[in-house]
Amino acid sequence: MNAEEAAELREALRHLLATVRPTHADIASALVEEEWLEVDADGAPGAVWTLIAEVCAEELAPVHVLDLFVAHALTPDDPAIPVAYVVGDVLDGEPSTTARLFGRAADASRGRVLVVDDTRADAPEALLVAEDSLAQSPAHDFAEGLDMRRFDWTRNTGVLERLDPAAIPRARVIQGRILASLSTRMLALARDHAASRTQFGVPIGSFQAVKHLLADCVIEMESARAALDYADDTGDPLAARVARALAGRTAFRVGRATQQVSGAMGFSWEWSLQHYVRRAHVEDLRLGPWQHSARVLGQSIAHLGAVPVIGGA
Amino acid sequence: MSDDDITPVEDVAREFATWVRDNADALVRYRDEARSFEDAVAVHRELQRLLWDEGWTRWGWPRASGGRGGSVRHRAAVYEVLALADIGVPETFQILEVAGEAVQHFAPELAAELLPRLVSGADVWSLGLSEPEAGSDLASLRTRIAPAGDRYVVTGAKTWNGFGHLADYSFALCRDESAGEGRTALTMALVDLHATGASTRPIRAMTGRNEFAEVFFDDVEVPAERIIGGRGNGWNVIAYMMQFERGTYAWPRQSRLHRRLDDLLARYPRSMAAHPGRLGEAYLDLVALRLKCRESLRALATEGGPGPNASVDKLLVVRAETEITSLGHDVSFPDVELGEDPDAAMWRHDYVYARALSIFGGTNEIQKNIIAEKILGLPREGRR
Repeated sequence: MNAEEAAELREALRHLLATVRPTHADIASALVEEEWLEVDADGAPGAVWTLIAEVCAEELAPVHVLDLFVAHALTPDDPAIPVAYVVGDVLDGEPSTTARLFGRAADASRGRVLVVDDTRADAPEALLVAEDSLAQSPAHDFAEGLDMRRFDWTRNTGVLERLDPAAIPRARVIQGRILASLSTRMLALARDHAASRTQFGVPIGSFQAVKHLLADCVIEMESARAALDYADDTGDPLAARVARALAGRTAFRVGRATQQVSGAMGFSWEWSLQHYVRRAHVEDLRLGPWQHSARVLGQSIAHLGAVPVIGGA
Repeated sequence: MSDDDITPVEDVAREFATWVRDNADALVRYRDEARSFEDAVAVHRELQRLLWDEGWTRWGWPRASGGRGGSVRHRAAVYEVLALADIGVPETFQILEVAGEAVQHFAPELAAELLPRLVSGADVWSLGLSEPEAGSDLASLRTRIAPAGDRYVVTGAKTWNGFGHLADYSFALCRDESAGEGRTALTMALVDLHATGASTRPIRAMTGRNEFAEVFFDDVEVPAERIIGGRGNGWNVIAYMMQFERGTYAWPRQSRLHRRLDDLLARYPRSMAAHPGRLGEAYLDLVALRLKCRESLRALATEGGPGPNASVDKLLVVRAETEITSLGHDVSFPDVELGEDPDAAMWRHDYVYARALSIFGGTNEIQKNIIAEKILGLPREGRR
């Protein structure tokens, strides 16, 4: 896909989001009907998945792109099927007491659970369980319109299906792209504010204290992007894990810095910045909050007794 | 000879790794360990000679300058094999990586003459930028260069020059009043430190080592062919160099940091396992640095460099190295302050040395200004 084609696709997707009823089910159906959810021959998400992840995040569309990808990898005919996520230690297919489950509003009888076995970075990390045993309860709508639910794991009585092992790193990269896009929007808003807001007779973006906060965002975002690009190119599972964690950490740090630069405006409900901040918090939960990923990486490295080297010169 | 004849980077890395394994006994004396600065440079010059004679460090330099062809990626791969084998990447390669490509680019004939001597350890170079009154505000420097017949004469003083007291040559960024105004009044010269009027004085650093030096020029003569990039072009030469200083410099450092973390895991397995979150975050910082730097190497090898984006790499090195040496400090407590064995000395050195990283090669603050102004397009701060 060249730059011109990508720009056209982005515009088409924005048009779709603007014209479809803003619910996950409606957007998902429209994406299926218009044949957006294509996957490359090798099972990898094509560049179009990155584009969907990015545009939906930029537009704060009430659609769960990661769910679409996971469901699509299992049941291409029914990508609107709900997905719940388990985060935490999982033993023999059942989460331990530290595990937490959540997902979006679902008809529990037809939902799926993506079990992210996060005890070790080098262990088989995920399997999918046909789900018929989750009790769901309402959750606070922190990200407005994402319609999340909490689930209680009782007992898996469904059929175990293994997700294509290559799909999990791809899922992490897609989730990383969503988080990266949220960071991009936050920085763009704060940067424009810093360039145009005048105090003491000059734009506040000319002050080093402000510049450095925004430069810190660039440092975080550029390194997360480089890691996501590498993981995308190679499908390397460890790189995908690291890249996803970096994208999560970046979104939190960029959220804080850009709100600081934006002053009282950044704290207001009206200005869009806070919506991106909230969205990033909820998106970071999927596949495990970045701190959890960092801890798992640390445990794995300590267990191995050596530091894995990713990518050559 | 076309690029097709050049051994791919991956093959060079593999062949060199085999050679390093086969010669492990002979290479023990070059192990990465705490030494005085002078001893380190002496040992590394020996290693440089060996690697040059065996052909490994000729990768990544043009054949016209004694090399075997290839790009900065070839050099990076060689450095990584050394670092991961716990062999010190020669300290003088810091200067080589900053200045080598610039000399090749702006003064290819000089490069053909001097690069082989630099890479093989026959000569040591230094980089003279900072002055007593010109640090971050580099453009305000006072060292002067002026034409004198068919030669030039340099007068002034530089400070904080890495390798200054051991060097045979020093770059000197000079004010060249008859060449232009403002930044176009700056000229880069390569000055022979054995010439009449040149003198140096080592400066002892917080590490206890003579990490840098003052360099004095008292009417030192410089031949015309040692002007790098032509008169009035000094700022562009520096900008070119800084992409490498901030980009390729980072690669061997991150390779070494992988090895240093391995060392911590081997020596303090229980302490490391007790802090998985901190270890994991340090690893995130390390991979962030590595993969960003990997991109910059590719940009330097194919597209002419990452430009101001190289400042991101520099800041990522500072972050990763600070985090990992702090982790080393904390898990090895109280060895890092009180231990007398060589391993403790190495962690002590690394921990203290991290204090310099955020200063040299452009401070963190200068790098962030560059990012804010050149990448984000924010306005420059008002100058009085």
